[in-house]
Amino acid sequence: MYNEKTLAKGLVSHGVNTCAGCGLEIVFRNVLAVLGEDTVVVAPPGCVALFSGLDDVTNMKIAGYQCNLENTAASAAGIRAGLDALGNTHTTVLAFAGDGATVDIGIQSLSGMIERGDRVLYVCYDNEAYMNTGIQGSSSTPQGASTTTTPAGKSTARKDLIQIAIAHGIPYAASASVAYLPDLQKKVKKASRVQGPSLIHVHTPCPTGWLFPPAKSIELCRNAVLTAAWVLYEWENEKIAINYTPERLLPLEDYLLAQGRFKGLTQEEIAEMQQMIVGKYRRLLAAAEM
Amino acid sequence: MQELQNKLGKTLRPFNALGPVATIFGAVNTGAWRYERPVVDAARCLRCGVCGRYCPVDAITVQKSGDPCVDIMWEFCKGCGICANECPQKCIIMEEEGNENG
Amino acid sequence: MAEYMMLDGNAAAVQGMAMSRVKVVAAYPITPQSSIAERLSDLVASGELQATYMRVESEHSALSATLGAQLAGVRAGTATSSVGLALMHEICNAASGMRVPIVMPVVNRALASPWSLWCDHQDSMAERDSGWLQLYCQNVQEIYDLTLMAYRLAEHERVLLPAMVCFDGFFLSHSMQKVAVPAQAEVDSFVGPYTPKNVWLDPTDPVFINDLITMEEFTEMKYQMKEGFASAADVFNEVSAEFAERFGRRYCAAEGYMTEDAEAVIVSLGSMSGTVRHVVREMRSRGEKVGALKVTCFRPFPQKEVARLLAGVGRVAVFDRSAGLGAAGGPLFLEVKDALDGKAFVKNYIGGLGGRDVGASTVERVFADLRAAREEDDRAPVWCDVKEHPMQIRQVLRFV
Repeated sequence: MYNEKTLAKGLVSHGVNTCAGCGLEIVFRNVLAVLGEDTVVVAPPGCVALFSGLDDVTNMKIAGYQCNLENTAASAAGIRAGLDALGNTHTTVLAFAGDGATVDIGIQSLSGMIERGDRVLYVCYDNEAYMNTGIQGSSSTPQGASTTTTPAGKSTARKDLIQIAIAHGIPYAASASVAYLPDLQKKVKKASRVQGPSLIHVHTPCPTGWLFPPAKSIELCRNAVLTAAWVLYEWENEKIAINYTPERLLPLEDYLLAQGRFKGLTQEEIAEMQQMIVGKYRRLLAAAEM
Repeated sequence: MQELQNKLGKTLRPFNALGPVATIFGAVNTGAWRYERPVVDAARCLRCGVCGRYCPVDAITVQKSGDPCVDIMWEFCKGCGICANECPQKCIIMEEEGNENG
Repeated sequence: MAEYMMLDGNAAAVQGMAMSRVKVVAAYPITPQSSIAERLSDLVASGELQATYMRVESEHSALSATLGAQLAGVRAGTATSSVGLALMHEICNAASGMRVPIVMPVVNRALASPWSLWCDHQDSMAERDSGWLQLYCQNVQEIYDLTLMAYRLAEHERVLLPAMVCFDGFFLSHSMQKVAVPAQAEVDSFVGPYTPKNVWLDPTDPVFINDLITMEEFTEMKYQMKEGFASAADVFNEVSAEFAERFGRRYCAAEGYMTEDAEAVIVSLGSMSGTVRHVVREMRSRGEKVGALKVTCFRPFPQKEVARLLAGVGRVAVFDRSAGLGAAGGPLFLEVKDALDGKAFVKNYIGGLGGRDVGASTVERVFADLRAAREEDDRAPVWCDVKEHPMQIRQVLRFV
C-alpha cells in the first residue's frame, strides 16, 4: 500500500519530472483515468519512467513494474498469465512504452505477444525519438526529422506500427492523439474490453525534442491530424475505420515548419513528404472503403 | 481498492521489503519551475473546461458555478502555456511569474 | 511411498517442476534442452500439469514472462542452455535484483563461438555473478532432487534469490536413469505452495516494483543480496537435512569421497564427478591414496566445507569444464584456491570443453600429472587432451 505524501485528483500525482508541456503526461493521465485503479502497469525505461519513480517515491497510485527496455510486451504477458492463474481476470494489464521501446528494441517482444494472443492492452506513446536519453532517432522518427543521431534529417521513412500489428492479426488496434482526448479515451475503453491483445499508438508531442514552444503541444498535434501527418483510425473486426477525415487537408508545411527539428528541409523535400503522406492517407481511405 | 482489503479484515503493517520498490506516492514541487503563469480573465471565461482538459499536470479545475471559474494548483503548474493557447475565448494570458496582477 | 521412473535428465527436471506445481511456464527450445519445452507442453496439454504454457519467441522473453508471472504471485518456470542462457543474461540480473525466487534448469552446453551443441560449463559460469544460486548435478536422481530442494532454498524468506539447477548437456539431459520419485502428496508436503514473500503486483495493495535507484540506496540493496547468499549456505544445509529425513537422500554443498586420508584429490562439478569417483575406487584398490571432491552448490561457494574436506590433503587438482580465458585459472579453480588459502598445492586442469568427454583415462592422467608436479613449476592451468599441433588444425586454400 502506498504511503500517500501528496494529494492527487486521480491516480497520478501532479508534480512529475516531465518537461513543461509534455504530451506523455496528458496521455498517461488520460489512459489511467479510463482504466482505473484495477490496473497493473508495465513500463520500461524512457520518459514514462519519470512516473515510475526514483528511490522510494513514485508518481502513480497503482501497482506497477519497471521492466527492461525491450521486454515490455513479454513482461506484461507474463503478468497476465500469472494473474489469470490466480483466478484474477478482472485486473487490466497495461503495457505502456515509448516508440523506441516498441518499434525498435521491443518489436520482437510485441510480435510474440500479439501472435500468442496474450490479453494485454499495449499503449505506445510515440514522441518520435529516444527522448529520455537525449533525442536520438528511432525507427518511428519521421523522415526529414533532425535528431542527435540523424542531425541532417532522417533519410528513411518510419515503421508503421499499426500496420505491423494488423499483419499479426491483432483483434484491435488504433491510432490516437493528445489533441483528440475524448477519442483516445473511447479507444482505451474499447481496448480494455478486448479478450486478446490490443494496441493504441498515441501521437505524443515533445517540446524539448521537436523544438517548439510548450504552449503549442496540443495545437501542433491537431495540425498533424489536419495535415494527415497523423491519421486517426481503428482496426476492428478486421476492418479499417478512419475516425476523422478533415474536410480539407492543411498544407504539411503548417505542421512541419512549426518545429525546429524540420527546419533544415528544402521546399522540394517538403513537397516530397507531402506527397508521401497524402498518398498513405489516400491508401488508408481506400482500405477503409473496401 | 483498499476497501477490498478492509473487507477481508486486513490491516496495514510495516514490512522490510528487499530490493528496489517505491512505496511512497509523492510529487515534485514543479511549480518552482515556472517562469510565467496563466492569468484568467474571469469576466470572459465560459467555464468550457478546455483548459482543464489539456493541462498536462492536471492542475486545473474548472468550476461550473462559483469562484474562481478556473482554479489552478500553483504548487504544480509548470507555466507551459497550453491552457492559454487552447482557450477558445483567448481569455488566458501568460504573465511573468512574480509580476502578475494581484 | 516412492516409485521408480526411468527418466532422462530433461524428464527429471520436468518431473521436479511439474510436481512442484508451477502455474506458468514459458519455454523456448534449444538443444539439448528442447525436450524440456516439449514435455512441459505435453503435460499441460494433457492436463497432468495445471499450468499456462506460453510459447515465447525467444529466451529473453521466456525469462521476462516467467519473471512477470512470478511477480504476479505464482510459481513460474522456464529452462534453457548455452546461448539461450546468454540471451537471458540481462533478465537474470533483473530477477535476482528484484529477489524473485525463480527456479530454472540449465542444461549445460558450450557458448558459441565456436558453435557447439555439446556440454561444457561456459554458459552457467558466465552467469556466476548474476546473483543466482547455482547447483550442479552429478546424475539424474540429483537433477530431480535438487530441483525440489531449489524451490525451498530459493523461496526461503532468508534467501529470496533465483536458482539455476545445472546439469550436463547430453551426458545427463539425454541419459536415461532410474529415478526414485516420491508421491505427489510427499512433494506437496516438502515443497509447499508458493507464497510471495517480498513484494509482488497486487492492485489491492499496490507498490511500484523496480524503479530507478540512486547511489543513496543501491549499495544497500546489493548488500541485502549478499546477506541472502550468506543465509543460503545455512538454508541449504537445513533444507538438505529435511530432504534426507523425508526422502532418504542426503546432499551437501560440497561432498568428499575418500578424502579423509587422501594425498591427492580432484575437485569437479557435474557428471564427471561420477567418473572421478570411479577412478578413485580403482586407484585405491591399487593402494593409491586419492580422493574426489564434488561441489554441488557453486553459488554460494562453500568455502568452509571445501577447506574442511581438503584439510590435510597435500595436492589438489581442480578440473574446470570452462576455459577461464584471461584469468589465472577457471572459475572453480579460483574459488577452491582461495578457500584453501595456501594450505595445499593446487593445480588447475581445463578440459571437457565443447562436449569432449572426460573419461577415466583423462582422470588418471590428471592424477599422474598432479603427483609429478613440482612446487616450482609453471602455475598456468594444464589443458587436458589437447591434440598435437593445436594451432594448425585447419588448413585453408586461399588465393594470394
